Amino acid sequence: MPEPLVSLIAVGKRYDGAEVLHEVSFDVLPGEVLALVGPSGCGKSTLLRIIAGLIPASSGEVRSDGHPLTGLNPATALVFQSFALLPWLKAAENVALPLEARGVPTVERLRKAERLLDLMGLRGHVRAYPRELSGGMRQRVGVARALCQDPRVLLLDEPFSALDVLTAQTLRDQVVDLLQDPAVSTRTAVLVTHSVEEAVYMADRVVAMRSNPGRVAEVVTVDAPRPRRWGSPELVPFVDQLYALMT
Amino acid sequence: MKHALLPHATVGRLLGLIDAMAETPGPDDLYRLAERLRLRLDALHPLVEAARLLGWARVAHGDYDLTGEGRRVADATVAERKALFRERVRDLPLVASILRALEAGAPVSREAIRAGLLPHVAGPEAERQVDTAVDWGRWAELFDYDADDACFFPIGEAGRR
Repeated sequence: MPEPLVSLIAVGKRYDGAEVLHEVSFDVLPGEVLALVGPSGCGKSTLLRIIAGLIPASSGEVRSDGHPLTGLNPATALVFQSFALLPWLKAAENVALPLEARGVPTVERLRKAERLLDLMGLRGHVRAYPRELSGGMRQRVGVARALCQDPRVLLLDEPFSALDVLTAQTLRDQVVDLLQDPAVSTRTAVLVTHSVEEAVYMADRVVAMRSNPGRVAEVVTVDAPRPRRWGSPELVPFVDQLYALMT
Repeated sequence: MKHALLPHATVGRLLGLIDAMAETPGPDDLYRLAERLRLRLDALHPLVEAARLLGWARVAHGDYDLTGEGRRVADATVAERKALFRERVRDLPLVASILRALEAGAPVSREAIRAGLLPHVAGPEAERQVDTAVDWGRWAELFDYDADDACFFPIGEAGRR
């Protein structure tokens, strides 16, 4: 059993006395895509932010690389549902922005940003403003910005749900491929999604959650071969199992 | 430039359409594809037009079918898709006219390109045509465009200034 990159041990979260997460425990293992799936209100996006160190747990412990997490988790980078690009910056500048905060020199960070945009298929759009980009392209910039930080764990918060079905499917495939790409250092991802089909399509393991309060129902291993096909019969048993667990 | 209008399809959605068409091999009804994708037929239309214009799909009597090249695109990597897209897009009249204007090696204003369209299409449509050409040309890496200067540049030039 490899050492987990992130461990959650009986993590709880309360807001104003109301319990939103109850004793959540699971590991994020190196090289895996782990999906958190559950109905709205099950606290899955809150959990992702606890892993990122953006909000503290009320109880329990988060360990990153074997050490208790205090403050921001430098091993992670987050991709947002809303893309969260700065409209006055061009694509490459948006991607390079997190490196500026780390004191990487301008030329170096723009070169890295352009390399990552190239990997996302956007070599020709490095000087485009977000308003000139389609939704799918904006989210590719969002993914490039996260990968630019060389996170050990890529955190994906409903990254495809603001996209139409055509755009979402090619981007799902692209993200899965990137995590295997020698040009990218990141191998591990945690995906938050409300779509059971998406979780089964992309993940190696799926944490099925329930709400009121948010808790883990079960962790399901999706051992279907890759590449997978959306809606293929070998994925159906996992989809059925997860729906049954969540309801 | 008659019959030269670009359908307003983003590259991402166009490629998504090719992937979706490849999932149901052989000729099939467009309305069934629209249902499967939960898209209205009129929303699907510019994407199908783009696929046809690039020679990647055939459309007749409400049925679609991928061409041989369309099938190759469906199976290709991003880099291979880009190369196939580039070969097709560079010959589209509006894109070809931008490339010809750039042959001198100097920037070309958006206004000059738009003005060239105006005898053929109304003002707002001319703007949309140029926007689509910018998007396709950028993705194909045929030219650069800078919105600050509203100028097209030969590939790589904008970054060197």
